[in-house]
Formats: sequence, C-alpha cells, structure tokens
Amino acid sequence: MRITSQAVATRSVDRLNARYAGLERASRDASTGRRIHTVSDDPAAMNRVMALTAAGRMRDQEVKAASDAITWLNTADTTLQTAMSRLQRVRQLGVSGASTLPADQREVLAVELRSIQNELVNLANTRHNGRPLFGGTSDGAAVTGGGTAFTYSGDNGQVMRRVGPDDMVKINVTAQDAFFFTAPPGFSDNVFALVEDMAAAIESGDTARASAGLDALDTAMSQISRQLTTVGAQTNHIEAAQMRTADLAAALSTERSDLQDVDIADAILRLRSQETAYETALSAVARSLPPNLASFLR
Amino acid sequence: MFQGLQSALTGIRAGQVGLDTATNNVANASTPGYTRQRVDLASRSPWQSVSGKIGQGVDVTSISRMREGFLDSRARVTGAAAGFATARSGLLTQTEALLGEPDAGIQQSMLGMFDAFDELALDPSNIALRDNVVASFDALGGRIRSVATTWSQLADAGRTRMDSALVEANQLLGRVDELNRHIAAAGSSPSNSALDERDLLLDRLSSALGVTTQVRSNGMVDVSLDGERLVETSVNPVRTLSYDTTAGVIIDGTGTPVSAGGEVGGIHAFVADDLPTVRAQLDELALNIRDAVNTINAGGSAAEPGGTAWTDGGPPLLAATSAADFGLAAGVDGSDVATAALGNHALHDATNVLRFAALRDQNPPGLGAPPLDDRLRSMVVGLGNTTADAVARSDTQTALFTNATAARQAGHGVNLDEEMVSLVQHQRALEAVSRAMTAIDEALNTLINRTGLVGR
Repeated sequence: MRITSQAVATRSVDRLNARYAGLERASRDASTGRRIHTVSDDPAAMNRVMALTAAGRMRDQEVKAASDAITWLNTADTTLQTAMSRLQRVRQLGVSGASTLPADQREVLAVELRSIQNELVNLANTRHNGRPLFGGTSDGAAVTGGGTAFTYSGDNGQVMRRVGPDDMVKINVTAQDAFFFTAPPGFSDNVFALVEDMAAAIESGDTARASAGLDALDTAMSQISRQLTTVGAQTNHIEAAQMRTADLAAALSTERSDLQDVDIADAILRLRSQETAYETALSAVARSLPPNLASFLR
Repeated sequence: MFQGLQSALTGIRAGQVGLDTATNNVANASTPGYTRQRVDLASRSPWQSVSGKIGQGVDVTSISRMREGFLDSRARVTGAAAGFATARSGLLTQTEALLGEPDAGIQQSMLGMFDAFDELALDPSNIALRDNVVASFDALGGRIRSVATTWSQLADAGRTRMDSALVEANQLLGRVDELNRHIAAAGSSPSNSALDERDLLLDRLSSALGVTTQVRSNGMVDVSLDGERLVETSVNPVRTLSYDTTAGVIIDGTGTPVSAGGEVGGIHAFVADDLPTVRAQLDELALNIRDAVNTINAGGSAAEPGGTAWTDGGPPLLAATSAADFGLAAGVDGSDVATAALGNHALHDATNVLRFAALRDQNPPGLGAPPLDDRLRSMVVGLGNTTADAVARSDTQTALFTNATAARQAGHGVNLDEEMVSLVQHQRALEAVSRAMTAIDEALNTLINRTGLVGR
C-alpha cells in the first residue's frame, strides 16, 4: 500500500480529533455531573426525564397544598375545641341556673351567658388567612344576627385541596354544619340563640325551661363534636397523603437522577482513561510523522 | 562514435527532466490538489550500423499525472454526502440548542404557569397570586416567542449561507468552463497544473452542491446537477444557479428547480423541511395553550379585587395567531382571571382555578388527549430524534469522507521518500551518463590526436 505524508497527516488529525472529542465529552460529563445534556444525546431518556420533572413539580405543589390544608384544619380544630369548652361553661351555668336562686345571682349568670354567646359568634366568624373559616367560599361573616335570631350567611362552597395524585380533599366545615341543628322542642335551632334562650330562662327564674335547655345544649355539643371528629379524620388523611406524596417526589427525583446524572466514580474513571488515550494518540502521531529519507541521505 | 555522444546527451537531458520533476514533486508535497508527476521515458528507435542495430538514447515522452478517476469519484461522492449531512446536522443541533430543553426551555415556563395555578388555588381571592398567574402567562409567551424568533433567524442565516454558497459555486462553474477551454486548446499535452486546478474546483463543487461530472474525449469536463448540464463547454454557455425561497435552488434564466446535494442541499433540507415541521408543531402548541386557557377562563366568573364587580365568563387571557406572537391578550390583568364557577359570585371559590390547575396532567378542555405537557414533550423529543439521527449520519459520512480523502491522498499525493529515491536515482544516472561521455571523449581524443603516432 502506498502511503504519503498528506494521507498520514489527514488520518492522524482525524484520529486526534476523535480522541479529543472523547476527552471533551468525558470532561463535560465529569464537570457537569450529567450524562445527557441535550435531548438528542438520548431522546428516549430525555423524554422520561422531562415527564419526571413535570410529575416532580406536581408532587411539590401537592405537598405544599397539604401543608396549607393541615394549617387550615388545625385552626378549625382549635376554634371548635374552644367553642366546646365555652359550651361546657354554658352547661355549668345552666346547671346552676336550673335551681332556685335569688334574682341578683340569676342576673350574674345571664350576663356571663350573654358574653359567652358573643364569644361563640366571634368564634364562628373566625378568619383564616383573610377568609372566613366556617363561611364556605363567601367573603362576609359566616353568622349574622343577634338575640335569638341568627342566620348562616355563608355559602355551601367547598374548599378543596389536591394533596396527592388523584387525591382531592374537602377541608372546610361550615358554621351551618357546626353550629346549626334541628331545633329541640321549644328552643332555637342554633348554638348562639340557644345560649340566649338559656340566659332568658335563667333571668326569668324559669328553672324547668333552664333544665330542659341543658338537653338542647347536649344536642348542640354533640353536633360540634361530630365536626371535630371529621376535622381530625381529615387531618390524619392529609398527613398520611403528605408523607406519601413526599416519598413519591423523592422516588421521582431518584429515578430522574439515575437517568440523567453520571456515576461520579465512573465519570472520573472515564475521564482518566480518555486522558490516557488522548496522550497515547498524541505520542503515536508524533512518532508517525518522522523525519524522511532526506535526513539520512548524505 | 558520434552517435554515442548523442545518446549520452539524451541521457543527460532525461536526467535533468527527472531531477526537475522530482524537485517539483517535493516542492508541492503539501499543495492542496497537487497530483504527483512522473517522467515517462522511452528508448529511441535504433539505427542500422554495419554490425547491427544500435540504440540512439532515450526520449522523454511525457510528464504524466498519477491520477485515478475512481479515487476522485469516491472522494467527491462521499464529500457531497458529508457536506449535506454536516450542514443539516449543524443547523438541527442549533435548533435544538435554541429550544433550550430541558433546563432553560418551554417546559420550565409551562411548569411555572402550572405552579402559579396551584398557588392561586390555595387562595383564589388573593390579587397578588392572580397577578402572578398573569405574569406566568407572560413568561411562557416570552419563552415561546423567543424560540420562534431565533428559529426564524436561524432559517434566515441558512438562506444567506445558501445564497453566498451559490454565488461561489457560480464562480467555480465559470472557472471550470474557462479551464475546459485551456485544456482542450492544449490538445494532447495539457498542462498538469490546469488539470489539478480543475479537479480541485470539481471537489469544491461536489461538496457544495453534489454535482456529477463526465469527461469528454477532448479532455473537457461536463458538470451536471440533478440531470441538468450546468457546464457544457463549447456546446452551451455556463448556466448559473440561484436560490428561490419557494422553489429552492433554480437554474437562472429557465427557473428550472434542481435538487442539490452537498452543503447547499443540507441547508435546503433544513430550511424547507426540518425547520417548518418542528415550527408547525410549536405553532400548534402555542394555539393549544391559548385555546385551553381561554376556554377555561370563559367557563368561570372573574371578580374585581374585593369582589366589588363580577364578570361572568372571563375574557380571553391569551392571544396568538402563531408561536411568533403568542402572549397576553391586550389589557389583561389579574382581575381578568376567572377563579369562581360560572355565575357563582363567591370570592373564595376556587372551582375554576382547579380547572386551570388540572391542565397540568389532564386533557385540555375541547382539545382531547393528550395533556399540554405531553404535547410539548412529543415536539421536543421529535426534534431530539431528528437531530440525533442527523448527527449520527453526519459522523458516519464525515468518517467515510475522511477515509476517501486519505485514500486519494495516498494514491495521488507525494511520498517524500519515493521522491528522495528518485532524486538520487536521477542524480546517479546523470553522473553515469557524464562518465560515459568522458569515456567517448577520451576515445575520440586518442583516435584524433594519436592516430598515426604509434611507434614514432
């Protein structure tokens, strides 16, 4: 075979370029920590990487929504617990009022009951992050009125949170659910008016009505207690979902890393071997371009 | 006796020509397109002497080029294929880089939009979060527009490159025509440097256009592209080429479109085929996003801050006729984002926001499967596959071209060792012939000056 210096030069430069490209690739992989840099490096893997990125971002938002939902539910729980403890006090006062007392003492009981009524209305109108906690999706007060005439002014809107893949949860309890109930005979249909009923009965010395009111109060308390159970169950559900979603997010990011990232030990090893290969190619080329016959003819 | 002197003279001449040719080869060892030359020698016809036929020395019949047509045609065919594949893959790689996936591409902006929906779903009355949704539309619009614009610029740059490549090719065609005339005029002994130059021009024409060549008996070369003869010296004048945005490469005058190979063909394949395909997908994606978002917004109610006024059926939020003008509709702000269910004027109702948020992984309303993110990915991965394929082909073709080039250089190029040997050989021959001349001269000297003096 005939060989000329130009042919040797062309082939040598070509081989050097190939080696240099290999070295560049290995060094890029090692320095960026990525195995694939553009879609065309590995379209199938990049398709998966992009799908995993999108799914990961979705899981992140679900974890955030779950945290928000838990804050919301905790506020609802605290508020309803407070309402329960105030009703316990109403019950104590009702028991005292159910026995025959002098007028001035009955007056003291009635005053305290009316102040508790006020507290309860305020609890029902609690706002969380600038919106009524028990008012559905409306913006105004959840409960309006005074004396024995109270109405629910919110709506039946549901506050929904997506806390996991295909896991949409309703997190709100309305004042309608918690504080309104089927009216016991002779009494009002809501907690606030019921407290006023009690206050009025004790004030007027009607012990029979006051003691009947205690039964009505039990209905009210069991209504709130049911809602507390619902809130507690939702909190448990969402906490579990949040953990699961966070686990899923971690699994997605692991899989993405497996597809996209290099094994560092492997990358370093490849960089080393590419370096050696390049140096070998350089020295081989240096030897294959020797001085020609002209140097030896005298 | 005298004949011997003549023979020695031809030997000296042949030696000189041999030395000159070898020196010229050495001098041109690195000249692009140079073909090594060889002195062809033939012995002169003998004359009839009394004692028999005696040779009359040596003739330099020609100085020939050591060129093989097969090596040339292989290098040109692979050169055209490599020019095509390299130009196309280079442009596709740039197209992909301009798309910026996966880290700085449309997907990140689109996920930003979905995140804005999810955040608004937590507090739909919050005007800052609604403004954030509008800002995310703007960011997505900016990203898509920038991809569309830079792609158009890339296509423009490709067309400019094609124009200048064709201007150069036209000059080359003219030069080939000119050389054809010189070579034909020189008849049977054309100048080797003219032939080398013409071969070099044909190489450049092949890698630029993918032309085919045909040698005629008078030494002229016809150059054809896609069956159309561009150079047909002394039959037709040279036909030049130009680029037409609709028809592609056309022949000036007749306007006949021709399918070019080589670099021009590669750029044309990209500008006329690859880019429009992916650009149409980008346009469709932009229109899909516009339709999905506007449909959902029209299906809800939008509130002024604080719920002071309501609009049933939110206005279009996005406007686009293609990816190039995709963006916010005029005058849109956060209060135009419909958050509540249609007709439900509840400030904290997030029903419609949840429909927006569902765009992340559900089929967009009115468009059917698949979801927007899948549509984006199928475009990105489609381009990725095309690019990967083009790059692989370019690598293969370039390797083949390098091989063919090296094979041709091995066949046509100058081997310095060979030339050194040939220099020494001719030098020695020259010395030997000189020695022969001296011998004849001394014999003649004896004959002329010493004849009759023997024994005196």
